[in-house]
Amino acid sequence: MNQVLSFFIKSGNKHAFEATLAPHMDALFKVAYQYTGQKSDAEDLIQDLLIDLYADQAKLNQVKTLKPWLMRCLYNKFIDQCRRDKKQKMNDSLEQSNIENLTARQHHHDESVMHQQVLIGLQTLSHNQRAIVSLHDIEGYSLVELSQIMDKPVGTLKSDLHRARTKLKNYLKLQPSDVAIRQCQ
Amino acid sequence: MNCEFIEQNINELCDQTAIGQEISAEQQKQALEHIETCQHCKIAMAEHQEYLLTMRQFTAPNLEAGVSAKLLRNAKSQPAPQHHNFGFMKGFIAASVFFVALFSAWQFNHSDTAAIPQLVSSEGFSTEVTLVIYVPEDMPNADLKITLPDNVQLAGLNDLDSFSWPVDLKQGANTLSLPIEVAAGMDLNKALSFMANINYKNKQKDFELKVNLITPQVQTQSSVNSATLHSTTV
Repeated sequence: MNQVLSFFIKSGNKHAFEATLAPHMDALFKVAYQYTGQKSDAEDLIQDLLIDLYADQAKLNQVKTLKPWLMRCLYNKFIDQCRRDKKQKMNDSLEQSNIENLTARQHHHDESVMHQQVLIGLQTLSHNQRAIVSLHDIEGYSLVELSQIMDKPVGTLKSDLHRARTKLKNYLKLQPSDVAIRQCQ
Repeated sequence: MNCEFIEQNINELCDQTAIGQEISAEQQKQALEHIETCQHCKIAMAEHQEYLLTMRQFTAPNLEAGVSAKLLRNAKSQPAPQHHNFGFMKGFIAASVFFVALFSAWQFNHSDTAAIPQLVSSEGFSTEVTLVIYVPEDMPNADLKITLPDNVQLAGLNDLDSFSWPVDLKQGANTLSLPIEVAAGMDLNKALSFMANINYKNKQKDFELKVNLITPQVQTQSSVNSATLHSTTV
């Protein structure tokens, strides 16, 4: 009887794990994609995160506001991965061919070029700066929320954001803004 | 109002929710008046607004159909990750097992003399103990604290009961030599108990290092093998 009960409990936990995380998978993937710059790396990052979360479901079930907590876990996982992978293959292997083939979508050509510019621009930033810009300027998190996610004071984040933006603006400024110029090349 | 204020608060000036909190309405009014008359700030403001628009328009691709379910399914079939703490514990368990093996081997070799009390003479003696600490990973700048047992002092530092210092521990065996002075009257058949504590990245681990000593007189009579064993602790 106990075995039967434990089977149902385990089965219930598995379903609860999926039901809890499924609504946040798209949001997690988008941020992971901004961090890594590549779809396959983003999926790997999410996979590593999910393995950790599954191993510690008790903690997952105790969290009240799940999305910011998941963003924090994702950020920590990303930074851990960057530290572990000192060769920074994510940066080095970021070639035009590895980026999402968005230029194939001809009807959104200018949008695609801008997408690639932002994506490559993000890769020019440090891991920390990339996370700040992704979460603040793209995802719309406030500095106070970022402070909780990244475990840093608001003042530090503000100056980090300022430096990251200056670098990214300079990069974007160097890109041709007129799509027609690119098409002629 | 000047260009420096605009540069420092350009984000707040573009963010209507920041007005009244980060900067006052009066400051905003003055800033906007300045921007109208300053070509440099006007360009900077336009560039910043364009940047914010660009970033807001950036959309990452969605997860492909079925990938989300696949990732969640895979997470459940993968083995649980090995955390640093666990590796840290494993290292010390390995160290303990190693010590027990060495200690047992030494006892086995000297089983005929173990029961006879062997007291240190009235003069005491100096010797050197070698502590071998096994760690599972590199631990740069770890804090190692050693608390000495009773009747044992660090040679040259007679007033210290315990001492700590930063050590760079490397993965595997790390040997540390301590010159000690043993006071008279100690029973050499009883192992000395050195208490040690390692603090690395705010994680602490206490463990005990047992050391068996022999007097210099006995040491000269012993075989090379037993002399090596007695000085190795963990």
